[in-house]
Amino acid sequence: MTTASLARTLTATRRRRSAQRASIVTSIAMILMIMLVAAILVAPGLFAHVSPLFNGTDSLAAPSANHIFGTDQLGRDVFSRVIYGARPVLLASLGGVLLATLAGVAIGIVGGVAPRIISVVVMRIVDMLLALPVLLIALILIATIGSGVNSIILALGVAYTPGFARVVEASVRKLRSIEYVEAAKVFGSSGLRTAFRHLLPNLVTEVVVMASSAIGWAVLTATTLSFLGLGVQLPNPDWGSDLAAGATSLSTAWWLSTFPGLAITVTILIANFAGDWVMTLIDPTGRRTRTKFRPLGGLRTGMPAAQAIAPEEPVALDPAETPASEERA
Amino acid sequence: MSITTTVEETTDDVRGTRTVLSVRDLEVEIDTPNGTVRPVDGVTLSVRAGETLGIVGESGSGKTMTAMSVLQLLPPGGAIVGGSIQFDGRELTTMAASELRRLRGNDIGMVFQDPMTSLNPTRTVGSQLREAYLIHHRGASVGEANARAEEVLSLVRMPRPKERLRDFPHQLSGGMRQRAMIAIALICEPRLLIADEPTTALDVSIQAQILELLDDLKTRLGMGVILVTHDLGVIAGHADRVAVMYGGRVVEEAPTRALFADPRHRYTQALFESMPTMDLDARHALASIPGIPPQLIDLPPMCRFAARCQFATEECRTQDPAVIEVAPGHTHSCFHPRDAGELASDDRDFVVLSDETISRGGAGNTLVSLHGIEKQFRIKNPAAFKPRRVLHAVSGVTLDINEGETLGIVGESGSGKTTVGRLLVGLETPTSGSVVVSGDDVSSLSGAERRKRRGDLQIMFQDSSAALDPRMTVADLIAEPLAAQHIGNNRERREKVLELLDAVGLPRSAAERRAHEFSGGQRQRIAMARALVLRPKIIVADEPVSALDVSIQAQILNLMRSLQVAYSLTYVVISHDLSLLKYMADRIGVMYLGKLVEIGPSAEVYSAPRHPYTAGLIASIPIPDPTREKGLNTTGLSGEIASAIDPPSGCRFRTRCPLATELCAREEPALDLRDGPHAVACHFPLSDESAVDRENARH
Repeated sequence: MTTASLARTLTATRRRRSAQRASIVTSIAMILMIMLVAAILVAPGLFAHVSPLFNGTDSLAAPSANHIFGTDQLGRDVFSRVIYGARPVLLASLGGVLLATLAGVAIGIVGGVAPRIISVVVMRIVDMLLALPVLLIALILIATIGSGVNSIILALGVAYTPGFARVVEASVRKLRSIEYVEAAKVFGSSGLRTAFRHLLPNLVTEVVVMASSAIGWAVLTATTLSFLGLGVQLPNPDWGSDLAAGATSLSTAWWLSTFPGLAITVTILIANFAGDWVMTLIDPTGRRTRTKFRPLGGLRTGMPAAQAIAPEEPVALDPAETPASEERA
Repeated sequence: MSITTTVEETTDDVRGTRTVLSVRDLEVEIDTPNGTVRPVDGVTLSVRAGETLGIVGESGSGKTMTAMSVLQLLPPGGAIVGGSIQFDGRELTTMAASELRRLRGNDIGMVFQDPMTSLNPTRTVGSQLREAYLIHHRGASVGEANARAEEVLSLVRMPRPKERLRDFPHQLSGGMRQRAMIAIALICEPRLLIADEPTTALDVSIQAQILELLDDLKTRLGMGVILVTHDLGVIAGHADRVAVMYGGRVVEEAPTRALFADPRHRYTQALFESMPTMDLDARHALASIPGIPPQLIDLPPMCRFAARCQFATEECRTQDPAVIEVAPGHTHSCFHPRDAGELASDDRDFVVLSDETISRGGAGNTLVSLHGIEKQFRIKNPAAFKPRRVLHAVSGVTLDINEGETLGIVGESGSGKTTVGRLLVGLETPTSGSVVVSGDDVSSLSGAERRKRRGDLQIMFQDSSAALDPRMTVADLIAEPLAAQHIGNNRERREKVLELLDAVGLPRSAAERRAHEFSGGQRQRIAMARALVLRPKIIVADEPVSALDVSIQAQILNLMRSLQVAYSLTYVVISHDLSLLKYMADRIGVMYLGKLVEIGPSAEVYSAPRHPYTAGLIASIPIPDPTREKGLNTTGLSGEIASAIDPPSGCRFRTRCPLATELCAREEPALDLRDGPHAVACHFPLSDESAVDRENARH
């Protein structure tokens, strides 16, 4: 009996410690990965020593030690093109999502707190935009203001705003009937103050989740636009246009489209993991599901059962301090 | 017919009957990120056929886990790690999953707390009943299942059972949903019924009906019943034996009468003393149990209650207490039990509040008055393209609130009491009528002026976890009203926060923590501090303690009363609990379906109610005294509250009133406040003589 309970205590502490270690490892891995992405964005020359526009001697060479991702029809290094191609894609998608987040949150809060007439008009416009396919909006905008990274940012921003606005509006409506927002009204907090002190901070979780998945979608849309020839123009490197260029020779030179395609996949994955990680970081209760990488401790998302029996962990107060004082009050 | 005799007969019968369920040394563990929690720690219980075993305890005491582990419905990560559960001689802990499934629903039925979430909203009541039947009767036809479903619905006294089969859960009222839930549990005629807080989500009048139904079914079907509840009143009236749980252990077990007459364990004793009962003298402070229940993680051998027990000694903190049998069937595990016949620790524990320290009555000026306020909500019509329907939440309430008094507002859910509170603090604007605060009609004030005046009227909500912004520290939360009103600089606000933390009995170190780190009672203290920071004249408390455990409730009520003196506050306490209001309030207003039907001094309203509704409410309250509760001729309320969308003509209570005549349907009785301090809106108010008769019947 005693051995059994001792063993249980040991495994319990080990499990707790391993959970802690896993979350630290996750943090380090995430920070490294974000730094890597930033470095690729700012100084791609650090990783690729050959210019993506340099036409080498051997064309259509398979991946080797010299050209780890191979070369294309004009003898350009595919690895270098993948590294340099990250910049337009990431700029467009990050910029577009940032724009959409700002606009969407603003419109959503207006829709959630404004008088009925205004909110109905605003939200119906949002609904109409939501009904148009993202690519169609982008195509219309690019057709009117011309192609290039800036117009892709604008196009993505406009296209993703309605989604943010809808979700934010719904959360604001829910938050407004929550007691702490009502309490703010009772102690005379003005509408603007309530929005900044109580609504915005409590929307962060939803917005982060939305934004991280939107980055994934935006990367896909940005590369699709380039794939269709509406984004970055050849010979400048871009994952979408390179993918398109290599698509025709997939059976003879698989590396041409495979590596830009893999880059897109990895970027979307990183965006989603980063979103989950940020969400656990900013959760005030620290009780939400935690995401971990499987090799580093399991990509496990389990509902903590503690809530079922110990829904709250009260602060251990000095028993002599509080109750006695008011008992005799 | 007196119920007493029937109950005693069954109790006697039970002694001879066989044991349905016996639990021995049961241990349950749940893996959590914070460690292994042991919510059930060596529990031994047994239930005989035709007997109700009550399990009572605070939240976190393991009472629900014990009931759930019988059916092995444990939360993820939970497992039975020791002990045995024998049902009808068969061991459940080692049983195969498929065999267990055959037992669940067939031999062991379960009724959950909230019928709203335990019925499937997308399927009709009939189809859910049929499913429960057909799972265990493979060969049966749908027709047979239907017939059986109808039979069970009429067994649980569902009105017009055949029509109800086609209804969806949302079309039924709360009481009817719980009846449907019980019907599902009973459809296969289980030998054991586990009812986990079956009436906690229901109104007191419906609670009385459901509990009486459970009693009746137990006697008729000869089931064993496990009744899990936190409410000692429910236990007193409806359990044959009681197990008191604390910290995952059964600390005392006894026949109901013996337990209430002679509790031995110090926890049981403290629990009884902290209940606000109807007879409690309002001049006494409530006895409260200091501290909070323990976290059940990695606890050494010790009495789990030792940290909160005033009798605890060294052995309590270092050894597990042994089970001691003091009488046949009466066991406890306490090192320093209460002696048999020892008087309640009245003199030592109850602080008598003298007349200087507590202001009762409050004959001061009128602070706020409501003049014929009405509030209507326009709600969507379920039929498409039809005009919106109007819900009359409050219809013409006139009321004065005097300086220094505590006004209680009581009523069932749907009576409009919460809406009155929200109208008072300005969270809703009245459809018609006016709210007059210190001489000014609120609707005539400008927006900025109104915001400034907001500080005079503050509100405390029921759900303390939703009332505090989870992203703010306690210091920010308490200082936020000052910041919103641009009062003081940072340093002054900080001082004010610390002063208030002292006032509500929280340590100053709490200032830097966040609300989720505190327990329910502690959060309610933070909410109190925030309400106080603007120095309001009136605090509206909407069900301030109904989410808290009995022992914690008493702490908060005592705090509210001491703060009332210190900060010269006027309270409006909104509650469904008449005994709580009788203790807290100077005057009680009784609301029914948006109308104020009776208002008067609290002692008078309780002892001599003039409205039949008030009398019915009082009769429905479960009293934690088995000798009285079981002898009570239930004259509680029948039926359920009518719809506020289409309220009955004339007197709104006439559909449930035993005295209703044609006059009541034709003409609406008015509440005449000039009628003296105890006004009533009834054509046939109860006289004092009839009240005396009723009192005699109760004793």
